[in-house]
Amino acid sequence: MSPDPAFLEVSQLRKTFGSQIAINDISFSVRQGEILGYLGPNGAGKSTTLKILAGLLTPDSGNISIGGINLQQDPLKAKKRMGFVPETGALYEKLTPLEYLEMVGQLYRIQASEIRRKSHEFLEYFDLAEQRNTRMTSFSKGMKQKVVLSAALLHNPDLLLLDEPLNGLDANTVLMFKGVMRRLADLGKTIIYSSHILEVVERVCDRIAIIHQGQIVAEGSITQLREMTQSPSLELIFKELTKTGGVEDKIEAFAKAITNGREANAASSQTEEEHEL
Amino acid sequence: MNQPKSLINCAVLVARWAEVVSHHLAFALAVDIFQLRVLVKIAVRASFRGYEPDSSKSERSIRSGFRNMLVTYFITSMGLSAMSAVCGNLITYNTLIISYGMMMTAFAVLIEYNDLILNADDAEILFSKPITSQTIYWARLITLTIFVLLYSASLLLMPSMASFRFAKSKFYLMPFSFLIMMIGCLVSAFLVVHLYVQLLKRFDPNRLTGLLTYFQAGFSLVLFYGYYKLLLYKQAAGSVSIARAVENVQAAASSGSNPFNLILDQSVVFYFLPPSWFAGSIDLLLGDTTLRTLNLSMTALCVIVGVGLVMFKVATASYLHHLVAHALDSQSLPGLRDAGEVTHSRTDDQQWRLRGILSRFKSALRSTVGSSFPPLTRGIYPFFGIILFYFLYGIENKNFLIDIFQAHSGTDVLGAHSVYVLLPLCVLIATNATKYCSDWRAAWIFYAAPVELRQFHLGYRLATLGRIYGPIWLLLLLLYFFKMSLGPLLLQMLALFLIILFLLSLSFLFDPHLALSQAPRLHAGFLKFTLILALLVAIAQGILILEYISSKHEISIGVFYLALMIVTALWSLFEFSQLKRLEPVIV
Repeated sequence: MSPDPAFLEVSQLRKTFGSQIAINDISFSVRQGEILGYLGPNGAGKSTTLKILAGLLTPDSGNISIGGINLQQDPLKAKKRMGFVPETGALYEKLTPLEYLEMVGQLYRIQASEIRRKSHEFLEYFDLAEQRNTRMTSFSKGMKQKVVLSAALLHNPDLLLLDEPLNGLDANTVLMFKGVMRRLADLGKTIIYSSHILEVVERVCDRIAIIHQGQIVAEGSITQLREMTQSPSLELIFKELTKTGGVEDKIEAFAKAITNGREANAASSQTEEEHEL
Repeated sequence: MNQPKSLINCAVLVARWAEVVSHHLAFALAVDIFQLRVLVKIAVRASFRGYEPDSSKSERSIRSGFRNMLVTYFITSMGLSAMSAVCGNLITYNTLIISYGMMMTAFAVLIEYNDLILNADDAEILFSKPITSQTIYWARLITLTIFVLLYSASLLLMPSMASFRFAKSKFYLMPFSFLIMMIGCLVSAFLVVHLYVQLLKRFDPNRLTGLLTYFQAGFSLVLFYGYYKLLLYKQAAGSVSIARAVENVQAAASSGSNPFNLILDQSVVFYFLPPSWFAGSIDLLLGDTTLRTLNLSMTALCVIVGVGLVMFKVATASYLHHLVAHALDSQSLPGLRDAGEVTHSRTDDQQWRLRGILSRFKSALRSTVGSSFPPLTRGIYPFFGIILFYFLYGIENKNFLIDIFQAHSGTDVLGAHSVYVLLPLCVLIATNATKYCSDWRAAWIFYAAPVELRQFHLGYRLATLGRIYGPIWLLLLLLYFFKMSLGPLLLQMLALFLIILFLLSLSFLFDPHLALSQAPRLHAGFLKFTLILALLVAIAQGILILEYISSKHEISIGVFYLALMIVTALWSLFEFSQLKRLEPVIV
């Protein structure tokens, strides 16, 4: 039996900002019903990749195919099949959640009755039913993120691009949303999940791609990555692949910088005294 | 019975035809009409809304904000209408009025409505949706058109009516004349949009914003000084120069004749003046078929067609590209970096004393006044040209700058009034520009820092006094130095300083918020400005009344100073007592 064909195919993607190379020759594919965890340190190129996949940025070179549709050649058709949650959680704050979801629904040409029904259901699910007619200017980060998530899911997309989707969400919502992601994948949705929270990536994702300095340095299931790096946890795998060394030294130096060296010196002199005793 | 029915059928047919044509046009332009409608509706709704969290309250504020804008412009337009009394002919009056409308519109597009053209939020919200760049562009342009039409309507309706002083029998043509004026404003707005987009192709957004602010300062100076020097000063023989306005009013008041009969210079310069093209079209509409009017009207028509074509040309995919570039760039906007250092760079308690706070606040303000904080510079720079014009005008006209304590008539005070209009203008611009800021959420730092709010406020007050009002005050001092003897000079400068303090307190009490702590909003402060202006005129008139009531000049001066000092002191105390009531920003 042949494996499922890839729903999202990215090949030899490259993007530069002036002289700075943001991503360099990135290729990967994600199958239908699969969740790909997209990891990397700050500035590695995660958000740039997702912005290119969402059609916000044009790549310098490379190809993107979404469900057989070439994103560069037929962007509108491709965009109809995707939902995007940006890292910044941008939305028109002067609108109410209902107004915002109505606008998004209309842009996707969803029927008015369906927009209304889904908006109410989603806001109910995210505990925002009472605030549905309140302007989002007064919303907390988490509340806004819930509206952004609702907007991304409103048109029942086949591909979900999630850039730090759990930003600001409370523990209960995180728990629920993890379940929802898993369930959506089981229903055949393709998900790219970019995050810094390694624990969530480890639990939710089927495969993981680690990007460092604009290039994918490792890709595979958590088991494959463990075998590859001989590391027991994703934290250590990440540390190994992104060459994050000397963490303990950095911690010590930072603590010294915060306390102007006083407490650190006091602590060390106290330790010396204890040793002497 | 059949006639109304056939009329209805005819109307339905026309509506269907219009729908078919618009759909074909939309298809040709790659615009989705349905999405376009959604975006325009949302943009208009969001643009008129403030940042108030309470829905019911903000519904009220939407209406009142909009009403305030209309009322303020309408009041201003009544003053403009009075110009019809001092103009010698229709084309002069219309050229001046349309110039004002076009200039105000151009500034409004650059300063207040630039978010309607390029909004960084659009990139992340809209570009991942199945919507074409052209749809976004046309939606933005239509929204801008709505704003410009509302703006110019409130600004030009009264002046347009007043223009029929020159052609009373043809008043029925007023709607068309008004329409031509509004088209002039729209052309000005579209040209600014085009210029902005074209410049974005060549410069990065932050650098462009810096360039535009200098351009605005230069442009406003050239515009005001250009009119004054090239057009009004060199007038036809027999007419009276506006440059000697005060003298002329005095002379006319004593002789009982009409002091003004302004007629624009008929030289070649006139043909290069865009507002005169539209003014010429109005003349043609009213039956003037001279070669000059025909030439001007043809130029106006060519410009309208040209601008229309240009706007169609701009509607390409490059719009999307530059919008994204703008969005990406704006994400790295330094914003309140220096203000943030207030907490991060502290080393010991000493730095939290007043001196430290002042220096830090000054550094924050210096960085914001500089090119690193575009909204503030965009807000302040356009008015530098006007201020410079005021000084140049004052240097050239000896009666323009007059000591208010030596004024003995209404016309004397007219010259002194200008400085009392200039000052509230500066106060309003600076307070608005330093209060409203796109990084307003960073103002939590003022509330989180272990410093009393009044210390921050005092630091801000001293910094604005030193960096914004100080230079203006010194320039005035220099100017008056050549006009007055030492005694009146010192009194005048003291009075101006007290008035600045008084206005700053007043401005705070009208709008009690810390600097850099409020989200930018459209038309912020127009009502405030009108009120302050009215108050200043009242103060100047009060001095005059004192002069008339009091038998001795010294007594009236004494009463004025005493009153000004007491009011300023009380007002400032009240202002600082109100700081305790400030509520933290919602982050």
